[in-house]
Amino acid sequence: MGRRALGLLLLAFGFASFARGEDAARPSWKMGWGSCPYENKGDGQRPSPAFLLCLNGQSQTDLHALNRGDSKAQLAHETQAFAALHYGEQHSLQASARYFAERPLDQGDKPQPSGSLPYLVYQYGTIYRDRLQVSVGKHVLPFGVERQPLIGLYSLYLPKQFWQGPDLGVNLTLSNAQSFFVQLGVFSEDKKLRAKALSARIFYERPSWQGTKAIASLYHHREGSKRLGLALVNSNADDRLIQVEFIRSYLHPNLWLSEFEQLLRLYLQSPRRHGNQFFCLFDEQRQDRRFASLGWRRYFKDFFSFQLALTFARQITSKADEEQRSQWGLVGGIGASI
Amino acid sequence: MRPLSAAARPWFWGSLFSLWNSPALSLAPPQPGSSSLGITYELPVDQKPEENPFSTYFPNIQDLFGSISSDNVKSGARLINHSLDSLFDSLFYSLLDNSFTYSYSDSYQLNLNLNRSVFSTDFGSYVIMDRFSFGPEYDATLTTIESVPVILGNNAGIDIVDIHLQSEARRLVDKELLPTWRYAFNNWFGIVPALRALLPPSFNPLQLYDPLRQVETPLVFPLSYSAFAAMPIGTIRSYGISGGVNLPFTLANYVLKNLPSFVERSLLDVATPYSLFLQGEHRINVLRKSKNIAWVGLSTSKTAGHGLAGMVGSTFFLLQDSLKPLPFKGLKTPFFPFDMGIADSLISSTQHLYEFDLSDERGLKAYLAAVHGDFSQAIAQCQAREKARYLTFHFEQRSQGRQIESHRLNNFFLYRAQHQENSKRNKITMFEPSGKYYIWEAGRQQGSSSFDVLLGESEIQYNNQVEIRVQPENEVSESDEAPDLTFKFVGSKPYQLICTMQIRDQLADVFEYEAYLAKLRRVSKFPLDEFPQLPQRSEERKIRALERSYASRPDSLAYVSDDSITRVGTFHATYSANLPYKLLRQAINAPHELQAQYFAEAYKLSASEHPYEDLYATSAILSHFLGRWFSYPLRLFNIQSDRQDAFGEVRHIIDSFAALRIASTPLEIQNGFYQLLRLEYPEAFLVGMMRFLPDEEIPRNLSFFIKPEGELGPGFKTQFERINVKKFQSSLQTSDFDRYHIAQEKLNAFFPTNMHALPRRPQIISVYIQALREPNTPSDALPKFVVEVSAKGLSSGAKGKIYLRFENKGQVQLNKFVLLEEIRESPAQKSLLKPTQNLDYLSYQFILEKPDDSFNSLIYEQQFQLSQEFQLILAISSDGIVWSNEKIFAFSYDEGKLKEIQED
Repeated sequence: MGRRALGLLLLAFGFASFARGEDAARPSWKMGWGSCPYENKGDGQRPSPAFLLCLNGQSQTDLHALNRGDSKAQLAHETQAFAALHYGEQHSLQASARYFAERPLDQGDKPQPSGSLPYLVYQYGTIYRDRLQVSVGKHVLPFGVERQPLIGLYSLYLPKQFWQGPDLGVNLTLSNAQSFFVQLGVFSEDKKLRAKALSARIFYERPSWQGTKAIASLYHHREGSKRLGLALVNSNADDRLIQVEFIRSYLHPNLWLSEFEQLLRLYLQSPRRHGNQFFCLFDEQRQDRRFASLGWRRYFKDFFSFQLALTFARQITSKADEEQRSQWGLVGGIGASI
Repeated sequence: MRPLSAAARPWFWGSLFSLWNSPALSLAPPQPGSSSLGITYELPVDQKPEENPFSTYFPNIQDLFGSISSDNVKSGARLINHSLDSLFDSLFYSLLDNSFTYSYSDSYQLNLNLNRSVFSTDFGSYVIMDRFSFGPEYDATLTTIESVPVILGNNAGIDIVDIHLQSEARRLVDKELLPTWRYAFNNWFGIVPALRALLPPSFNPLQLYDPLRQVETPLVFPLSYSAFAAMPIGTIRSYGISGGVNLPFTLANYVLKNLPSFVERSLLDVATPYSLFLQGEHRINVLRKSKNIAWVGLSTSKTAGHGLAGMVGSTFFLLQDSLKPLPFKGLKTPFFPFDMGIADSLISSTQHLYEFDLSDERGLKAYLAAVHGDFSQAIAQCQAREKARYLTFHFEQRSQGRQIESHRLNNFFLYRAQHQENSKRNKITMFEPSGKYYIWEAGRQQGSSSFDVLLGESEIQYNNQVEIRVQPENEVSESDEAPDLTFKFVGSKPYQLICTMQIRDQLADVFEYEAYLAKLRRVSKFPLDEFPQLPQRSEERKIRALERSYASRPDSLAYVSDDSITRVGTFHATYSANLPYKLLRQAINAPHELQAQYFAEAYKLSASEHPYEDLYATSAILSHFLGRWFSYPLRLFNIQSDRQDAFGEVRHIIDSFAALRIASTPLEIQNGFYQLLRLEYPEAFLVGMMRFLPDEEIPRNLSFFIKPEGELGPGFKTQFERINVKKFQSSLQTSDFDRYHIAQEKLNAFFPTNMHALPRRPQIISVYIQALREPNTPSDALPKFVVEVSAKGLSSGAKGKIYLRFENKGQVQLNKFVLLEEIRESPAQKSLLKPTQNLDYLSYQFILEKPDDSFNSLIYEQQFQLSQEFQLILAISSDGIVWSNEKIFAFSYDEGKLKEIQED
């Protein structure tokens, strides 16, 4: 299947939806900043607009003061923007852009900016409403909890090698639209769109778990490397988040002989109360490093925030003659989101 | 709670302000029919009995104290990892479970253990059991047979247990009474409150509170009067000396010697120890009943038997050495997909219970001798003809029996499921001042529980126990246990079956709530109409979830969730039914077809599946049996198919009835019931049994404790308040076994969750809240609130201690911002609401206002202005030790108007 076929598939979905005929009572356009204005379609009283544009994003700038290291202070900035154009309830075009820059303050270096387009996809279907979702385009493979819990300065410290970067591919989600979701993802490698990597992810929720998902995922690369991920995520409307994630990445096709890398992540974020929120992140990369951060965030008017955090990083080494390096640091930052 | 009246008149305001700062506040009574400036809440009066005659559900003190050591011996578990821990046990609670081992050699070591267990109660407090144990242990490999090592294990030790109540109110009393350093130490210098703010509600901070008390455990046993006087009333202290021998064979080496190598590489241990064991214990328990009354229990037990265990898993230590140079050994992470075991043991035990009045010098002398292990004075006094006022002998219970225990456990660290069963037969001889009598028992206790990290623990337990009243055929004096002694039934109704069921769920949602009620309606036949129909989903949260999901980014799927299910809160229920002799005989003697019909319906079999004998060969029946056998492996994961098991179980019941029909002697009846009660589904069995007699002839009792939290409105909360104090019971409440049950009740007083029954707890009966604002002040000025609390069961001489927590009330119910939390002391005053003098209750008044110090005052002011909805949580006590239940009163205050928050 080539790119042309993908384009045709995209067009077919689009035409199929237009061919179904539209409700004349629908307003044609609506735009939402921040969260998308959900229209309760099911009751027949409040029709959705035909087109809905959702825009949101977040930005974070942090200053990190460290007790030791090549640089004693660094400045990092990250901005993420997201736009989604929904047509009706099932069709959407979604895009995201990311800008990141970091700069050691005491070495006079210039900032090292980088920009990227994490995804640009057409998506059919909505979670909790449709049993089938398909997304085609540039995006990430479904594996583990792919979104990092903290941005800004933390992008320098949080490991990225456990997740596949954005690439061209197809993600398919089958679900009962309530509690059980199975996702399959295929990524292409070259212009011939041969499969480079495959992944599968299962979500399971139980009513009694109160917004908790158990997540199991597998990743396979054509060259033989494999990853296994297990996670438990509890996220509530009050902004509380509890995340426990375990990922093991095998570098060799034979699992029993292969060396592996491993990540254990624990992230806790308290509910937002009167603008105050606490968070705690702990990452352990086996035989590599450990990173912990304990912080407090204060929100002003919901979209502007200030945060303070204490960080601790430690290099793990199994070699006796290597120095065990530890770093303490203090982070101060400001953030904005819509 | 419901608003009765709300009122104020100008003169009333004037009088209030004139009394604003006077030490003895007095208010005029609210007038009905005027504007709503005050709210009155009247609470239903607790009707629950002080003592529950059916509480034989609980294990006795011997089982409770002996469980840890004997379990280890039976499974040979010292040789393998202990897999019972939950996530919080592992992460935090285990900070108070410490073992210190000093090894002299490979086979000989000295152990010192400190650990803490916490039991929840039906009145909101927690019972803390701190245990200190110390003793040597010897393990030596005697020989090896076919690669199976034969090990001889020996252990002996002494342990001391301190059992006390803990609650939020008590914690605050500590804040007032203890030096600052000690209060800070009790809270781990702020770590415990921080964890409470950050972690899900299944985290219980009281589990970690006051670590020093645990260290004090070995020093607090009341061996002197001063130590006894220092014991809070209602607490229990206990010490025991135990010893045992065990001979475990580690069969895994033999059975699994050809395991593929990858299993060995998987880091999971496989253990299948078979063990022979012999264990003995001598224990003294002290319960402070009142100021000078001590109950002292003496128990001795011997246990001999054998057990087999099977276990696959391991305990990992995450983040090992991560806090160097601090000696942190890592987070204990038990991962045991399978852990099962069975033990068959013969048990012989004796329990004595004495009551000493320590205000009498002779009573004190006898008490001190008894707690030092010398009961000769107590026995001599009790045998004397003249009854001593300072010493009461309650009873001596001798018991001989056999029990088979089994368990299945799956522990995945964040989630744990467990099932356990215990079948037993006991022959009990009771010696009481009024004479000697005999009770034989046969029964089965079983329970299933699960734990998950977010919602904590939930469990359902059943206990079916038949009690047979017997006496020897010939009068004998001392040799009652002679093997050739034959027994006969006593009376015309010599046996009865007591069935109990208990549900405990730390955080139930609406589906669990409905399922529990359906279960209880089915087994009790009570309509339970008082229970409100709760909305299944919060519409507001459902919309929010859909909003979030609609706009969700493709890489954020893990963070999108539907958390709109209505959360109910804590749900506890205890049900007991006493199936009398008449019912049992009618069931046993009923025609075969009737038995089959009743039980087939109770087990929800269809009409074509009634288990008559002639249908054995049909394909439907065959599929039932095959299905049952094929579903057996699923039990390893605690998954059972009631559909597949039903047919076999009904057949088992009918076959057991056939055996009981021809049983004539007490021994045959005991064995017959022992076989009958070996059931997998006691709930369906009880439903079937109750059809043999009209409901009104079956004594039944049902009680609840439901503590709603989350978004349920105050209307629902009021309904649950009324349900919590209500006693659901059948009109017939007689029992032919009162004497025995009273004795059991006395023993159960030593069981921690029954501690609340000992001292009479105060009860809040009404609360009045009035908002006050000085005249000519701006409408947004902070008001003061006058609160009057009336309560029963308080001593009139002492000042009342009132625990109050005043906090914001909002959508988010966990970790609300607390405006005020303190203990107020106040003398009793004349009630505004109940002007007629009544000695039944006392009233106290106090004012809620912003704190004096500038920092807290600022926070109070800011938080008060941010919110319009508040809740006031109150508890009351005379002595600061025994507290009433905590009650919640929710109200809104907006532009000078006070309003009770109505149901959503």
